[in-house]
Amino acid sequence: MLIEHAKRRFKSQRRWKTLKIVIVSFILIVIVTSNGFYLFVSQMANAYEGRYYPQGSMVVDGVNSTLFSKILAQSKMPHIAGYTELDRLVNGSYTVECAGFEVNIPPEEIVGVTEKYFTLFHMRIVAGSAMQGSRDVVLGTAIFNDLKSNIPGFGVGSRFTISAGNVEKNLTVVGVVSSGRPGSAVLETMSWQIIDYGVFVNNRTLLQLFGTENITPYLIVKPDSGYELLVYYELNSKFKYVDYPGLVEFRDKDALAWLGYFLNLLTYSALISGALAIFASAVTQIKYSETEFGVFKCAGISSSKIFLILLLETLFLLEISLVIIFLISGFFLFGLLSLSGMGMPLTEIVIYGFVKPVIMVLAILMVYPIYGVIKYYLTAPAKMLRN
Amino acid sequence: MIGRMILPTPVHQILTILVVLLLASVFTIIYSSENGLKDQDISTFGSNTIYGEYVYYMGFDESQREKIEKTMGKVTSRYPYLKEYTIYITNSTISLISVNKDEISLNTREIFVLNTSVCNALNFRYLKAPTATSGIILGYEIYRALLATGPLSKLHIFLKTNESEIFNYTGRVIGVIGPTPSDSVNAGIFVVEKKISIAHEYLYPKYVVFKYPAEYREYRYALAQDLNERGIPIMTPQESHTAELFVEILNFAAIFTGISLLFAIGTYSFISKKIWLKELAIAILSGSGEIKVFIWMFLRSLIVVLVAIPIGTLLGVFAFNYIISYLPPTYYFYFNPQPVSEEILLLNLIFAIIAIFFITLFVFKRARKRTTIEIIREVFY
Repeated sequence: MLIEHAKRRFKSQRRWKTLKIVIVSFILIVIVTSNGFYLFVSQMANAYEGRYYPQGSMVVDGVNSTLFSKILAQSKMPHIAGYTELDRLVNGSYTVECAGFEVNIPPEEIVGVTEKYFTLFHMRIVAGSAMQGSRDVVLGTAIFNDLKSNIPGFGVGSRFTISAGNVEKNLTVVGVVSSGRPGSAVLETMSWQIIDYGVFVNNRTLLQLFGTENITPYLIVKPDSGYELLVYYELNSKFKYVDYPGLVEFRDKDALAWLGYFLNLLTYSALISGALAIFASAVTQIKYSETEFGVFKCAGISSSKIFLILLLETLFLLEISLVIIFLISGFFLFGLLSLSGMGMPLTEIVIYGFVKPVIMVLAILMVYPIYGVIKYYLTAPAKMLRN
Repeated sequence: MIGRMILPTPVHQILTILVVLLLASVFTIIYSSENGLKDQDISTFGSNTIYGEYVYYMGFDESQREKIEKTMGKVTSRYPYLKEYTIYITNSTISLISVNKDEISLNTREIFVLNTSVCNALNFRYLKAPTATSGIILGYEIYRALLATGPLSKLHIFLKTNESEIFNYTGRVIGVIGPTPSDSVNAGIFVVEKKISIAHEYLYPKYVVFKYPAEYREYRYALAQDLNERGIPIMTPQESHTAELFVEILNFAAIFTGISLLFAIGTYSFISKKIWLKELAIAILSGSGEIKVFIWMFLRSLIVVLVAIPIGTLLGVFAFNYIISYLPPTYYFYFNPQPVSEEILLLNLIFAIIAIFFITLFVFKRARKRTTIEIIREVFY
């Protein structure tokens, strides 16, 4: 009965219905566009957030820990939580043998580290343990998986032999470290940032194998939390090559906040003006319904039933608006497909591309039944009928 | 008569005033944001400027400086409308900043000194506008970096060479510059003083900024090329196109709000149609001409609009300024908040007046189709 009546009401008052559908479709387009665009840009901005490097840390190139500690003692840099030296191989040929197989590893992937590297930066050990001594080697998860699939029986505890010239070192794989980033996005990163493809050996071992002339040191510095930018500027005043990957992230997040402001401005202005337009139409629509409401009131129909009738009428309208923009403009579909094509999680697409816009629009459409029921409750039946 | 027309329906009038007021304020916010994004001149030192950056200051000797100053003189005499401003750094080797009991050693190339009048002339885009004429103005990123030490009030700057102290300065942080395309300005500490107390031999030009009148904006590339040919390497302002999409979106929102405004005024007319008809009938009965009746009907809506639009615009201006003061700065979308002009008020008014004109005409034309006696019967019985 209620549904029938709501349908009848919905079929009449064509002018208002059309106007409301136009308003609702407009608002839905605005909200979906802004949500979709924000998701798209935030996805791009968050691409920097992989933990290729220990979070918040910075790199000082061409400096060893002895020199760094000397400079640190001379100048005041109180906000450095810790630092560790890493060694990069720049010259020299070598062979790597593992369980009878000769393994080809590019020289830039062999990194000499100290035990401190794993503890100071809380490296993500996915199997085994961190490096304990000079005979240990830790592998990046990608190279570990490559070796595992090609060498039968390879795993944590396997022997690993590196020979450079006349020097040969027998090492044991003690752990596997991961950047936490799925896929092979590591290709986009700088050589010092390689975690997934890195072969981490003790820097004393690297020195014994290749000698000082073939390796170049660099430092990873960890600032106190919140002092990253300040430490970056301090390091910049002392050293020539300082790299702080977090700076890009910091700038991106600022820009994202700005974008969020603009899109919010757009969404809320559309919602406010839409709500006001819906209210204006509600006033007129209810005015046209006064005779009908007067009869209802005389018949003793409760306010809750009137609210339900108006709510159903509103839901029909929302349904039609959704169908219109789905089928005619294809806007939702296009937006959702392009977002899913970018690898956006489906739940986020559904929430921001569908659930949130529909809830927001429904909220402003509720102006109509709420105004209607208040008017119904407050106006005397005789006054309604007289009008 | 107008009073008599307004008073019988005070609730509707107030409601309409509120609706029009809110829509006018939303329109003002959107329009102001759109204008802020439209200005694409994102020069580091404010609009209508080009600048030369001297990065070889460490190897700078007196003769080189004289040569540059001479060339500058030639250029500025050739282009009399061009104004030249210099921002200096010192040839210090040690720079220490004391802030909130922390002593920080910063890059000596990023501590700038400039004259108050130069600072005023440059129109920096500030995150926090200077509160005094002299003190310390921080670049956006160094401000964020120093904030880690606590709230920033005073800074002590100590510059020295290996042999002697050249600058010892304590000053208040008076302002913060928003992000610029220049990393060095973002990381810069600007000491602004009426008279700079550093000996001339320690001062080296870092930036020489040329400011041209706005009407010469189209010639800025030619001007920069001319200066480059004379041995002054000039950076021309960048133009940001990233904002175009936002301008389009905001345009759409402004149109959307405008349509809502029209819709609100239309509804107001429908609600008060009966009162209009009654007034029309009385006016016709009392012998008023049709044009006069139309004018009275128009004036009636005009009162509502004249009350609502200015208040709404003012509300929008306040809301916009409030929002802007809490805005996160940006690196990619350069936003130049423009002072809110009377243009918005005018636009709001024009839009509303056009709307009420057509709506009044529409109601009046429909009413004219009936005889006076029909109208009176409809209204009173």
